Amino acid sequence: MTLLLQLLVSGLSLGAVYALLALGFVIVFKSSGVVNFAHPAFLMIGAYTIARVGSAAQVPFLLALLAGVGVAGVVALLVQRLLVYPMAGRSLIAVSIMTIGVDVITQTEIIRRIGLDGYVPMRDPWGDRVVRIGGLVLPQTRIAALLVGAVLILAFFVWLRYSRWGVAMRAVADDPQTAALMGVRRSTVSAMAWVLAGMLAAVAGLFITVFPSPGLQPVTAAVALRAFPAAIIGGLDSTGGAIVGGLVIGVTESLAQGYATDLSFLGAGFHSVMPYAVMVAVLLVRPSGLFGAKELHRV
Amino acid sequence: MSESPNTLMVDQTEPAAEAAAEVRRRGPLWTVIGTGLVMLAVPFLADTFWLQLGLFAMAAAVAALGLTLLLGQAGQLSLGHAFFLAVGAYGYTFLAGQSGRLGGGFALPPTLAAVLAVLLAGAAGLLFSPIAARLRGIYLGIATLGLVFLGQHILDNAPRITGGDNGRSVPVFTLGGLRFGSDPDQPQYLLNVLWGREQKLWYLFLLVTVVAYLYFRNLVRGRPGRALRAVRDRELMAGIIGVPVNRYKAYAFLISSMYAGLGGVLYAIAFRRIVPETFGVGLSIEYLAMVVIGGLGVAGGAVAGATFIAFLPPILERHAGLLPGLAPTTGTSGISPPVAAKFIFGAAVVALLLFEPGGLAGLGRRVSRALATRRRRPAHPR
Amino acid sequence: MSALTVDAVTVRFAGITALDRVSFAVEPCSIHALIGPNGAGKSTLFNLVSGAYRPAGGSVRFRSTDLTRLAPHKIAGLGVARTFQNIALMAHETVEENLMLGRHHLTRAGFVTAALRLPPSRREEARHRARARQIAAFVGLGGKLGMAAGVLAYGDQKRVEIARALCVEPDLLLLDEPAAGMNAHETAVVAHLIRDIRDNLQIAILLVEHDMGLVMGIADRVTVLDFGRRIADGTPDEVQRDPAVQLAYLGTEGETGQ
Repeated sequence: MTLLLQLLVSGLSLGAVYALLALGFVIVFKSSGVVNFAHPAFLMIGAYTIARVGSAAQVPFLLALLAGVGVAGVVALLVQRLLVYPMAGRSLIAVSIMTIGVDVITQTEIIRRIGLDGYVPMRDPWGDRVVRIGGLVLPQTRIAALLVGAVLILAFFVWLRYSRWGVAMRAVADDPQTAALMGVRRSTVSAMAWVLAGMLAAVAGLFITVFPSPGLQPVTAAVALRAFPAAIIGGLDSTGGAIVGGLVIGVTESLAQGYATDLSFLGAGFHSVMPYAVMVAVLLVRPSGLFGAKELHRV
Repeated sequence: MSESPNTLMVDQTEPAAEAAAEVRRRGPLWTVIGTGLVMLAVPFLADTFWLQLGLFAMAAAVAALGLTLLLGQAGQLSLGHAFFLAVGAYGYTFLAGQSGRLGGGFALPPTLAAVLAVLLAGAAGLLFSPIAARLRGIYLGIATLGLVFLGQHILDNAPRITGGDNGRSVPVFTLGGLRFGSDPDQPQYLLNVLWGREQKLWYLFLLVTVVAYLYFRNLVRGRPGRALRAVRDRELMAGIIGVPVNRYKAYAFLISSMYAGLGGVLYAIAFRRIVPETFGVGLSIEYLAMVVIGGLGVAGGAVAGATFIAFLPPILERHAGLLPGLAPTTGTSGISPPVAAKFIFGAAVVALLLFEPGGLAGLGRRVSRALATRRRRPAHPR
Repeated sequence: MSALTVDAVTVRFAGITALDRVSFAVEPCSIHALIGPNGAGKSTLFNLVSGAYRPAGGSVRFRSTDLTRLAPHKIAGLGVARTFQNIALMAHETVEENLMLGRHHLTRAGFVTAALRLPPSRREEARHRARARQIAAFVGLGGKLGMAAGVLAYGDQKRVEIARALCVEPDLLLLDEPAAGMNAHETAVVAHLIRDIRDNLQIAILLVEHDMGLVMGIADRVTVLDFGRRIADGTPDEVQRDPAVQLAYLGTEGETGQ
């Protein structure tokens, strides 16, 4: 029983991180209409900056975190302004492939700096320490991930619902023409969405690189890729769906890993394929994801 | 119709008018013949290093044809191409391989194994195609990502097939009595040239590539190509005008996966040794880069892109000393050639999509059109 | 037996009832016009008949075959073809290639025969190209077959749409605003063509149009929709005199109205 609870908490914590990633991915899709394959690169850039700045002498962790978030946000903005915006009006697939190119360039550079077999320590304040609640032993990093994730997600939805720019973002996602007529500039909202996505990716990057294996490694990029099935499961155009998708991915992955011996018939390391298996299963039943809008064909 | 055309790029397929005009012009036929003669003469002119590279480029070109059919003609984004390449490569290796300490095998005749491997890849494509048909463009792209991870997972857990982490050697290809291998104890010579594995395989690969190329072109110029492009650009209209849309999406997936399987077989034969980690997401992305850089939807584009991506790292390696920033040898400062190659093709994808969506093929068309216009119009007094 | 029987169809989406128990019939070899103010449901009806939508209620029959659950390509196979209000041509392909797309359901060359260019598929191709050229000449596009469809003048593009629909060899032709954006002369040419199609090709035609002059001039019967409901059905004269129609749409009597 304790194992199950432990796995669930772990899964929710992982899920919160995936949710942050998927959320950023989805808000870019909703505001720009772009599927941003460079999203994992934002995560890597953010995490790398946090690690490098944090390793400089006497830099407090919080500052390093802010630096990482800031840099990721700026990079995301640059991508939107310099590469995506000029491609306005081009097809979704064309822009998406372009972001793949961006991803190749950025990942290659980051991995070059890390070194193919290397890793960069994150110098986070939690390290190996654990917390004991009830009968459960939980690493501090996981608690932190869960709490920070929950707070950020909540803050985001409150902002989306009540703030001026949040409403503007919803308006643009819903009906760009009317929003434009009401004075909301789509390009500004798009830029905002990209910056947010970059920042959220950086935070997610921090938590992915502190557990389970500490440090930023080349394989972190593969973990970051799981944002995609998370977003797809929820439905590419649903922010709520992104949260649900992230949590589903996190929990199923954690359970698959925890019960790996019982699931050994599926092969060793199945937990890393689990997100994709869940995604395909969902798509078979709901081709647009759980909460995605079915396309209305107006001919 | 308020559905906007899902055109991937401007002017990316050879407009049929162009194609028709080209057929009427017949060439210039001498370019085709000339290229053909050069291709046939290559084993007598180039050393084994370049031949091996050429084999790799041809294997890649065949697989790339499949992806450019799927993406360029049918408009379906697939990130799963590496999966079908793996099916082809490991299918051939396993079916033709001997059962032994390092792995299993059926020890089938290589020709049969090759054909079965391609069919196996097709079967895998067919199995996936109902899913593919149900999903809208970008959902499909991400779902196919799952295929690659599934493939890697299977390979990681099947040492009988893969021979473990160190890889597995690929059985030598034989066709009838012909053995496409080298025998170091009994070197053969043809016209004073050492006639080894690479020289023999060159002609086999050339034949397969030409057939694959012609099949593609006939498909694209005929009824299937027309239907696929209609599905790509105006899916609703296509259905209403009489094209069974889902069926054609499935066909596209099937043919594309068979091309990839064939490419995988060729790849395995060319490299003599395959490892599972080759067939990851990175390979799918490389193929995407090939077809975009080469020019989407056109046979020549697939070949050009494949050649570009195949030749880039070794050329960078050879001339690393000349180019600033590149590390001439491992361990020295600078960017290593494989890394530099990645930067280049990533940047090429971005730049091409922003500025010249037709890729190398598009550039080639522009150049030939400019030359043709110059030829037709003698200088006017201004 | 009517060529097309629309029987109490209801179509709803996103909270709007686009069509509310609409019924009418199109007789063989006749020109039947569907008119009504913008948003009345005319395009919805076309999309319904083509198979793009499923009705919430009612049925659509082509002769005796129920169309309501058929896939669009099957409907085309039965002999129902349409043009599109906003041109839906393959802009980068030649007119001839666009027409050949209409021949798709009548031809067989597939991924084996077409790719190998076997003699049967080449003969089939030649036969169908000849027919497409014939249709192009009938419609008045003879000299333009080799041009890319996207560079043609708007009026010619509309004609390609019609020619492509004819290439399907339909028994029922749905024309979606064939005279939209045309001046008086072009409209007269289109009117003539539509009458030709009815008389020489013996095809039943259902026509959505805003140009009242065209409609009243060539239609054998007219159905009027307003807010998704049928408010009148009869000959052009009957409909023109119907007060409900005048109220909804035509303004005062005698106006050709746009």
